[in-house]
Amino acid sequence: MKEARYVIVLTGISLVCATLLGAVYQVTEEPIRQAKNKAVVEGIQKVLPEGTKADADNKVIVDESNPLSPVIYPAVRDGVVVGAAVKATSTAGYGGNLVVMVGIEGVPGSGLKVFNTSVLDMSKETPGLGTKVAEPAFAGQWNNRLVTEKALAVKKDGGDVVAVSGATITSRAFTDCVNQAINAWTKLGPAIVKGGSNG
Amino acid sequence: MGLLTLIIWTVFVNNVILSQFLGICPFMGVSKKLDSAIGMSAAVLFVIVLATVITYLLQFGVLVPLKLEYLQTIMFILVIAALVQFVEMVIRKVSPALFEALGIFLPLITTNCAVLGTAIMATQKDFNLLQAVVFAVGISLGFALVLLLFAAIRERLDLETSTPRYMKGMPIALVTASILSLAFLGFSGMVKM
Amino acid sequence: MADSSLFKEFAKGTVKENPLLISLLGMCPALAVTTSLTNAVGMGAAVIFVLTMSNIVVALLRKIIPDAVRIPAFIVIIASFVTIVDLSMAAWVPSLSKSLGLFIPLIVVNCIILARAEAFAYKNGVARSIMDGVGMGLGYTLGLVSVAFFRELLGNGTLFGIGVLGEAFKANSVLVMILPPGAFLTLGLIVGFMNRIRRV
Repeated sequence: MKEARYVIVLTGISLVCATLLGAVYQVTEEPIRQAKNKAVVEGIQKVLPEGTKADADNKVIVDESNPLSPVIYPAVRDGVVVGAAVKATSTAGYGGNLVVMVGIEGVPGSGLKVFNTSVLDMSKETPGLGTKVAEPAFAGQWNNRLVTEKALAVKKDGGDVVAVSGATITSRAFTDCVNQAINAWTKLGPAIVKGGSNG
Repeated sequence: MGLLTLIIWTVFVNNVILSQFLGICPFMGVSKKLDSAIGMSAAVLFVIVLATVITYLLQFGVLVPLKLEYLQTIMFILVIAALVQFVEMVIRKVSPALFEALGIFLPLITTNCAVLGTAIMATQKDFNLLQAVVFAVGISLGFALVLLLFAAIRERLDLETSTPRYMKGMPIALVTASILSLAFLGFSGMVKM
Repeated sequence: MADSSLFKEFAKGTVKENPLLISLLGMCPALAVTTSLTNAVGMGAAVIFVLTMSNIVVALLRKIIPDAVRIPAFIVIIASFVTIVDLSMAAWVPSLSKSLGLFIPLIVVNCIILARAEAFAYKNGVARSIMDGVGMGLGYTLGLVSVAFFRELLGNGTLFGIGVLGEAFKANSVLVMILPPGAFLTLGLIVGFMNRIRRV
């Protein structure tokens, strides 16, 4: 019966392919996990000042039910929590999500300062245009910036953040990430500081 | 996010053809005449929406729980291929005239990157099922809009203008698409996702 | 004699029957990933791999696969290699994998691969199918690179990320080249140019 042959051939091919894929998956699973982790670790290192460290495995997820929730990595110096590296995701990027690691110096209540920022994922932004937010011309304005009561916004929206010309959307998304990071640390920081460095 | 905002976003701001570059092959192939453009748009709408629903359920009901996400590509394309076969059979039974009119374009929907692209995107964007469906509908409407606009332009282009011989056909079509894309750029930032 | 014929199978894909610029297949990635030469080459390499491997497997199994179910069989084979490329890139070149994003799994619906499996690998031996796959893949890459060359150079002042037109140009580059309209325009003009030199 012809049909039987069809089924046998297709099933045979599918089984072989599935096995092959399973094997490749096993081989690549670990490198993929490490690649994802590496970005976070490097991001944390970049956004915190000398002598302050945060552990990529010691993290506080702001909202467990939201896969895009900000993630706080408490930063420690000499055993004391002195700030945090916060990974924030904005869904308002040009083509998708923008992920930025924000390094915040200080604990809530005693004045906060953005020390540095690092873009973790801007693959959905336009190369050469939106990606300019990672360059010093834009990113530099966040360094050593004091955090005030007012939420940050680009000039077009009444704030004083200078956007990348032609890339307002990406600039807005970046600003959104910084705001999210500051809010997250302000809200959950006190509890984390009280708990001490639980590394 | 609001469903209406989602529709506006997918049709205008992030148009599937002019911004995301999905569905270019059928776009160039079918847009020469208005009636085939209409038929194609309807078929694509049907396939994209159904495919998105099935693949969404497959992804979150089977692949994720069983940690088989890496089988996404292969499972999704098989679902789409099967769906297109099924749609072909149904149309042939229900309306042989439509089947004749669509001809070769029906099986070609399988390789339309807009279908697979939409199915994959719907699982990556943190949508619930209803949002995924609206997303798929929006994508199809955006596809239809551009297809029809383009067909209307091309019908005139072929008749009335004197294009240099080496630009005739695909080259001038692409240049026209570039102008259309430029126009649609005006929509960016219109709605916030 | 076998050698020159094998070489012919390889050469046809690169110029005379260039899948992108002449047969006009696989245009979606040609518009989407050509914002930078690095992405273009990366995509090209992925396509060469999938195309060649699937050609090999289809040619090997061509006597076993019944005609009626050949399309589903091709799809399973092609999708498997695409998944292999996807996983491998995510593991070893994660930044490229992120940049190419959605378009890596979309290689499975790149008409070139299905077309070569159907038109060539299903009817020819393994050696010739390899030549066909590599040749077509290389031709496709050349097509991608030609589009990316103009888009990156004029849109960003760089080639492979390295500035070549100076800082002043970079700050005031032809932005539209990087954006969607620039993609359509560049591809359209290049295809028109190809028509011109072939005196179509």
